[in-house]
Amino acid sequence: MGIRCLLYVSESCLAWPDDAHEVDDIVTNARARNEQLGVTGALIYTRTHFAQVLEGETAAIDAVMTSIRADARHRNLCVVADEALATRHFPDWTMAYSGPSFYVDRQIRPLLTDATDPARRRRAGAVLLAFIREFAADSKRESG
Amino acid sequence: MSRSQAAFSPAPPAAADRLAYIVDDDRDMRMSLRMLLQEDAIDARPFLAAADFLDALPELRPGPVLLDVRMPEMDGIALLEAMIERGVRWPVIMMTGHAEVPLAVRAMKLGAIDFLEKPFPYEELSALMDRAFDLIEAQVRHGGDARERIERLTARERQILDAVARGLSNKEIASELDLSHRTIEMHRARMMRRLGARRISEAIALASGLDR
Repeated sequence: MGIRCLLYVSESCLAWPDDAHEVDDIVTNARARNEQLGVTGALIYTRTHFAQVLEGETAAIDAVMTSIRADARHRNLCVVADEALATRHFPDWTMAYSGPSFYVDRQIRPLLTDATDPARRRRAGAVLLAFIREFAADSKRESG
Repeated sequence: MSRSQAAFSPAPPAAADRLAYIVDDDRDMRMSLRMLLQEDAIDARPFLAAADFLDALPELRPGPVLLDVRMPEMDGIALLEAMIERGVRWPVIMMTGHAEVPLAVRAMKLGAIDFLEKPFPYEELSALMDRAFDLIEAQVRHGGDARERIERLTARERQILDAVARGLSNKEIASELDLSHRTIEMHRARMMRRLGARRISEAIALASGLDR
């Protein structure tokens, strides 16, 4: 079975300062579920937006996305990329960033509207993906 | 307005209410930023070296810090790390000649709120400073004693808090620090008590200056 890579962005419905507890729950549940399903990737939370990369077998990604789409803690979910993947980019699933950074938020924001032209959208998606990978790699470097 | 009138009129919203700091070895940059910020009634104190800022830090009031990445001797990232070591979690805005992704990611992980590529439009800076002051206000409202609480931690507990904030599991922390899983659990529980945090997210928030 082939491996798929999916990137989505969404708007957070969580309110500061209680969002920390919610994000905790999201991470705890996601970590367990993704490990069980063999899904790797990373999640980013900027207080206003989420972005997540998921890698895994089609059925596993579908199962995870069904539950993510039904989650009331975010809205306006936009799939930025969904494509076949030869090899995984992420060794596991991690919370790659959670904080108030406007810089990180700026990488997500333009992808939330479908209005942007496809070429620009693809480029912005590639930039965001590179970012999330760098965030995950930076965590690995620190612990390595 | 005559002098006596000025003395008796209620104090105008003094520029000093909005204090910020500039750390940049480039004199022209310090001068122009200072002037720009003055337009927004922000009093920005300039520092020409990271070491000068660190020396003055214990006496400073919380404020946003505009920090140049590339400086001789101690650079911006090293200064950001030194601030964290001292438990100072003020909003930091990094400035750089060319933004490189790994550098930006490093800065964000260290808690910087933004990363600006020079030269940046003034409107951008102005909006950013407003949000930085909002963050400071929120920090003050929600337990401004984060620094104090973090300082109560032992070196080991700090290490564990940092690792937890990076998203590592107890097992991963145990292997990283070469300690047993049980020992990590014990330190972790003690760290939580010392921080007065009920949930790990509160501890992480304290560590990252979100102060929940």
